[in-house]
Amino acid sequence: MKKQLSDALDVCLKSLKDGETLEAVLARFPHLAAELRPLLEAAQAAWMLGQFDSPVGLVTRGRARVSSVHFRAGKPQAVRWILRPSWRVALTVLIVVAFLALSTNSAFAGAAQALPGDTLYPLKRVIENIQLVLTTDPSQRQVLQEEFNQHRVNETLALILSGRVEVVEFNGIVSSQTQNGWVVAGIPVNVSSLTLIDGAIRIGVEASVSGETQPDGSILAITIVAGDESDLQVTQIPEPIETNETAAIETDEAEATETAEAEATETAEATLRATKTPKPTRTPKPTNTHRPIKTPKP
Amino acid sequence: MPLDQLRSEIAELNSLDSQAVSAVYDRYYPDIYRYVSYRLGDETLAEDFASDVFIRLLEALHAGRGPRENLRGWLFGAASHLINDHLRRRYRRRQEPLEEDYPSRAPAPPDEVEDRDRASILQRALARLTAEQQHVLTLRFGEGFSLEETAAAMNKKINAVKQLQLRALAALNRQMVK
Repeated sequence: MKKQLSDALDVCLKSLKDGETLEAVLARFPHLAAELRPLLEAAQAAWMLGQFDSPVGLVTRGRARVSSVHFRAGKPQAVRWILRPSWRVALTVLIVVAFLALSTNSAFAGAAQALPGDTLYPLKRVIENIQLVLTTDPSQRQVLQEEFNQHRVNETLALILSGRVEVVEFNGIVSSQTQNGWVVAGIPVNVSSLTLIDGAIRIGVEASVSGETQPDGSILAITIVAGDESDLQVTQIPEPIETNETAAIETDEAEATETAEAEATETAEATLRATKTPKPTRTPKPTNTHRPIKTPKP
Repeated sequence: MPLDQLRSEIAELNSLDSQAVSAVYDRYYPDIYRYVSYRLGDETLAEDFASDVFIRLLEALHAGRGPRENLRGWLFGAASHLINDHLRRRYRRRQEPLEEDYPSRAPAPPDEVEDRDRASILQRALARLTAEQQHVLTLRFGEGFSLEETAAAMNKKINAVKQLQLRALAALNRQMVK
């Protein structure tokens, strides 16, 4: 009997899904109608619960979070065999060949110029990661890491200038604070209620940002993580000045923001013109922001 | 998707290739989001949990414990486990009525208030079912899976899914009229 009911239920569900009315469906199984009715009413309600649209930008937002974990977690299994001496020699040869090919092979050349969102961009990141793995000298690795960090900044600036909306991640020094966030590596980074802020974001400290480029030339941060406090360049920050004139503060803030944005634009243009040997900018420029401003609440 | 294609998808995923990871993410993230959103009725939580499912997948792959044959079932299973853990923690932490815990799905225009209230009642009724009953209803009515797809995702036989679905709908109906 139960099997008969579950089979009838299945037929009824299919018919309801095809647009038949509840009464018409039940009329096909008069002997089971009393039992089927509450089940089908519950099914209709269950379907109703599933009728909603996914929010805009859903996949992109989630992707930034997942991919940041992917990159941070590294690839232990792959790295383990790469680190074996026998493989290291073979891979070094491979990498050299790959980099020689960079200038001639269009795919590799394309990868070197790829920006986040491009098909070849993952290849670019893989090549960078391999370079890092194969660099055993800590100081050289540090230099390389900083060079790659600068690549991330340059890519972000290039995306901003071309007006593309993509998920990006970069590190940089927090050089000033704006009404909606901070300026990191010369790029205005805005926070929203959805932004995950980890640590105290202060002027002079290094911060890791992942977010989405916006048409207005800013970044809408998904996560912003403060770096090591020991990197904080305290001497660059003037002593705070206490004042009660809110209007004056607002004016100063607006001016400081404008200046920071203007600087960011100038930096963006300058960086894009001279991309041959990007150098990491670790020291923030002092700006008009002469007093710490309350951390904006997301 | 054909079986050999599914297997090659898993093989690429196990190699932790970035492009393969991205492709799997793009393919399944919206479904997983919909699943979580259906069960919890909270968009913000749904985004977090859907991301967590893929983070779990990456962790499992890194540890060599990734899915072997049924990636889709693995992902929905992981989503279900995450939600069950979350609900257990919530019940343990607070003994408040469920309705205060469940925020509304989204701001609605006045003419949709009735629908929203109804959805809220349904959400609460659904949350009172067993985890397996919630899982089957979410796959069948939230995801629109066929019986065959549901059976594959739940690693059950079709007849078992039919019976489970029947019990789940009966339980949902009882909770709705309470």
